[in-house]
Amino acid sequence: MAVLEAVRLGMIYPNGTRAIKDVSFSVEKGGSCTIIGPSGCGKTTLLFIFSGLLKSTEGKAIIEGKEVTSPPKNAALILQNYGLFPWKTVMENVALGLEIRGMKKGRARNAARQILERLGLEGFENYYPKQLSGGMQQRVAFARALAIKPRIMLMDEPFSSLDALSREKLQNFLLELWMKERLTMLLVTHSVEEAVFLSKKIVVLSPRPGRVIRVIENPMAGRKEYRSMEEFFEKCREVRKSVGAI
Amino acid sequence: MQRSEEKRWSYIAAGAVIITTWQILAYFVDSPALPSPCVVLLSFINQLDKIAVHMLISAYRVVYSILLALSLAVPAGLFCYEGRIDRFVAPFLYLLYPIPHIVLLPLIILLFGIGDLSKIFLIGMIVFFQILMATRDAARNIDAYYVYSLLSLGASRKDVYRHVILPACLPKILTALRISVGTAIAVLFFAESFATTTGLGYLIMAAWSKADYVSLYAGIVAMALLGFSLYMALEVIERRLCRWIRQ
Ligand SMILES: Nc1ncnc2c1ncn2[C@@H]1O[C@H](COP(=O)(O)OP(=O)(O)OP(=O)(O)O)[C@@H](O)[C@H]1O
Ligand SMILES: [Mg+2]
Repeated sequence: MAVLEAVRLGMIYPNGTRAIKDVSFSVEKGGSCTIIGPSGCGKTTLLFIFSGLLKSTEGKAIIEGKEVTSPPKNAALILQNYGLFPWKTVMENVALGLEIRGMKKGRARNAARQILERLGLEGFENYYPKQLSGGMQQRVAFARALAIKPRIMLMDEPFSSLDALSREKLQNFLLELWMKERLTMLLVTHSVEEAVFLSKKIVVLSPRPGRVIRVIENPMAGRKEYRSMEEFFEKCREVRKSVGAI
Repeated sequence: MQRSEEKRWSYIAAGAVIITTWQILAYFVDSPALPSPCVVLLSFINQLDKIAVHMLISAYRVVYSILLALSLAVPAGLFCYEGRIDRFVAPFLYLLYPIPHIVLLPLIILLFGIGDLSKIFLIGMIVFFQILMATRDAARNIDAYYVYSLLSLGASRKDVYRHVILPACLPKILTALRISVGTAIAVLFFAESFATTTGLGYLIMAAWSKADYVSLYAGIVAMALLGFSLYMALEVIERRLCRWIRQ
């Protein structure tokens, strides 16, 4: 059964800019899908529609059988840069989602503490985001997303502001997370390697207005060793070709 | 802790430099219009009872006006985060802000009499516009991504104000407040300089008209102390509320 489904989605902003047109694809339960495409082709727009932050002007976004009209409770969103609140400590950031959902402060903090421990962030509870490295900040963002126990993760270029080494580490981390928790993931990225490493399905969008030009299946994704296998490079070539051949 | 110790010493050092400079100037100018700090200090202590009463009255007026202005300007400014509210507020702000509000004093006295109310109204009005302007600017400049990221957690509108809009604007509000303290005291002096027999402004003007220069300076020192303690109070508040900026 499809957990995420885009049905002929289209978006025209109030100023008349058409961001995407006629975008359809689906992601099945426990699947992972990457949207890739040139800058400005409407990837963030697409993700915001699934997050319930933007209302599409055409078509429907469906999550677990229901049309998205407001932020879905079972999905967590991770943004590129501004996900964390600089005025809140690591602990406050991570517990925030739970508190907003009505959990008592004490219980929310306990749950947050457990997740921070799991992500190797214990001891940093009282730090402010600015005092952490980029990689750690992004792990805190993951901790906050995971705290609400989502079944779906929506991510907009979550690693794009990191250096190559932290980036690879966090990609491995995300891969493990995906396999362990059986999450359904929708990821936006600029990086062909990231797409091929992390997702079984790659949706290639055209330049603005974004349209699906190809859907590439990538069944080998799902283990760390893939990164150094011949098939990986083969797949990257294939994706690169369809991203470039527009 | 070491840093606050250092800071205290730098304040003491700066104070010493100012008083020494004053002393040297007084020595060379050698005029009754510039008494030496020791003489002023002595007079300050001798009249402490009287000065303290006037200082309390002045402090009451300033603090009351600032709190009043703050409690109205901050919510109004924060709500300007929303475009449809800003479209309503901004024209009023832009038309009314550049007026030198101090010229409204005669009008205010006509309306509210010569008591505390007219002084509080005048100071409050001026400070209100300063804080509103700063808060609105801050609210208008909040990165939408902060709000998106909160909304995606299922936040309500109230949550957005509590967890994003207010904390994001707080540093700018406190800066505006600091500027407002200076303005408020200046306006206070103006408002107290006639049609009243209380407050530091009155004390200074009365000493001036009697050519009692030493008392005049004692009043000025009291005024400076009032401003300084308000700044200090703001420092403490800022350190508590905006810990994330200092670190
Ligand atoms: N609020 C808005 N109003 C009008 N146009 C917008 C708005 N937001 C985005 N756009 C336009 O819609 C198009 C798609 O934007 P979007 O941010 O979705 O692209 P993107 O694929 O995420 O780009 P990037 O790869 O640079 O992140 C762009 O041309 C952008 O200028
Ligand atoms: Mg984008």
